[in-house]
Amino acid sequence: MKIYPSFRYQLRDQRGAILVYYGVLVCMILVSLAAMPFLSAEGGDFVSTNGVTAVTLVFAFVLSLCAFKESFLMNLQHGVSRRSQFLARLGAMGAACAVMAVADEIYTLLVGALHFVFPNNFNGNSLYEMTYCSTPAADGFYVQSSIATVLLSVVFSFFLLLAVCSLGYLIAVFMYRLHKMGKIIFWAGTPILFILLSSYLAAYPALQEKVLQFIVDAARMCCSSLPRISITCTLLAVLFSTLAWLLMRRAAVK
Amino acid sequence: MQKLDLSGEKPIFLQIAESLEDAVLSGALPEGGQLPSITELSVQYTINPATALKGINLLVDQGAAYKKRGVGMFVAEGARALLQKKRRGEFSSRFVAAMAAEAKRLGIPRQELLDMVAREFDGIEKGR
Amino acid sequence: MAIQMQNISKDFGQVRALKGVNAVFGENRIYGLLGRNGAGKSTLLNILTNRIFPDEGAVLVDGENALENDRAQSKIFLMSETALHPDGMRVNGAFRWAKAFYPGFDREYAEKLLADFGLAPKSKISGLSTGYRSIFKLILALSVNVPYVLLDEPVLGLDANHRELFYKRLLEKYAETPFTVVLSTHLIEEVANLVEDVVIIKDGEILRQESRETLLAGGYTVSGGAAAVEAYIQGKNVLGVDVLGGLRTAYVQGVPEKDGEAAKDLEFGPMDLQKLFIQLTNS
Repeated sequence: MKIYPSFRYQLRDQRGAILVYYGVLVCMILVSLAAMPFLSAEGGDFVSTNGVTAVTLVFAFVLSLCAFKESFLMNLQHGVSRRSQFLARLGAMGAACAVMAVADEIYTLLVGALHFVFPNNFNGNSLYEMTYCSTPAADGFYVQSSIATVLLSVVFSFFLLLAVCSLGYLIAVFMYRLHKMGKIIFWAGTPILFILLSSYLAAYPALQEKVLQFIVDAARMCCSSLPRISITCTLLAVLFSTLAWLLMRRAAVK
Repeated sequence: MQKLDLSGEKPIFLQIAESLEDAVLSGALPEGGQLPSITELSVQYTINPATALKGINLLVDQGAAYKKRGVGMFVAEGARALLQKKRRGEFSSRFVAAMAAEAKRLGIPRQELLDMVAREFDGIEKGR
Repeated sequence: MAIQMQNISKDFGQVRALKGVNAVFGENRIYGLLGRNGAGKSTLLNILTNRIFPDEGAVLVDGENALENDRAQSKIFLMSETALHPDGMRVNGAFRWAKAFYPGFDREYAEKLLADFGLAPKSKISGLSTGYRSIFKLILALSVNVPYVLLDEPVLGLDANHRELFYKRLLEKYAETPFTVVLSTHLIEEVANLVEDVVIIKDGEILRQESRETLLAGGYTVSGGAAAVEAYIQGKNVLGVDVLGGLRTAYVQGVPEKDGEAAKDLEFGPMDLQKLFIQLTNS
């Protein structure tokens, strides 16, 4: 069985990029600290933002877009079946998402600690805390942090990352399977379809109203609490991964 | 050892056998001495080991070589005399026939051919 | 113990790359998979290693279906013309992963070969010249220690010295621990004396599959004056005729008939693989 070496390979394949990403984040804090004497202590000059996971989600998406082709070929060179590759990928993706979720929280805590030193320049709240634990206050909003929210933040980030990574991987496999013409049609067609759809909706305000309402309702139902969004993300990850597998099981070397 | 004619008319295993025989006849491979191994021959000439084995087996079949289990192939005692006898037997058909035929094609008279042979023969004797 | 190909067909769009291929690569033998460019050699090897899917037919490795089968595939290593290693990977990195995927990979031996061929372990694979990329892949194939090693155009871009060195190392390795080697090439002369068995493929079909000896023993050449040769080959199974002025050389299948009246003034010779191949695969 070659699942384990394939798992190791696919994890290792992402390691460099993840290290660089967090390296850059840490460097940004260091640069901010170095710039501290020149910043206003009165507030307004925020140098670190809340909810780093929002940025990590974009990074994870791009990372997953790049996780298929090279790894697929390398694994085939070494006689790994597509099935084993896919199972190993699920493992590697889960591990990478867990690492990133924890790293995000560590980063958030680090910035949070700096908040005590420079209260007006640093603000360290996780995406979870901002989404579910913030209450409006006079100067923006107020966030209640605790040990519990720290742990739940990791869970929240993990599930979001999982869904995003599955989507990125699905698109990567899809792109690999598409012919050149198909790729052009896909990348040109998607925005055109979007524009057509929105202009169509704009022409029928009543319909547009309904659609928007539906989206808002659906979003509320799926995302209104941590358990709900966890389930939603898991279901999405399962859906994307299933589709990715269906595309991958017949993928051939080109 | 001599170069093989890999693209030539003669099968490779025969060439292997002949070059080994030549080495025994010239004394380069003494009686009782070890023959090159199958691997050595196959690597040396970049030929399939089965071909090399077939060549060596020709010597074994004639009784000019024998196998010591687990050690390798050796030149048999009396191999030189044996091979000389065999080669003498083949001499006329292998060399003289071709020479005579060529002489005939070129119209060299019989006596002239015999003189030429005698001259070459004496030359080698003197050179020694 | 063998790789068996059962009735394998493969189309690429309108092109029928393989048409019902049946062949066997047996245990511990050196095969020449011979065919002209585009005959279907690479397609066949890619199907054996699960890199592409056949439209029909099956591949069995030691009796087991090789399709999406890790255990079967761990017995095969294919060195293909196109490298499947990632762009940024270095030679020593590739060795490390080869060891991870194939526990039998002999790193020490691989490093010795690197030194023999003069390839720096820290070189980036994508930065290597065609010749050195071939060398890199050959070293992997020689060090991986699996029962079936498939080499697609192994000496592509190698100079004469490196080719010689490769053939010698291959034979040493083979003598030490025999394994099945498949040399897929259109350079017949190079491998003619190396291979024990020959599989000749033309337009996606297997033309011949037998030991080199049987194949060559099954035919002969006959040459002489045009009229004499033409007369002799009447009614015989002739593969082809070379013309040189008034002389003809015919490639004939069967046993030479040297005694008859028609054979007078003709010269008979053995078939050589390169000639036979050219005659068989001329379209």
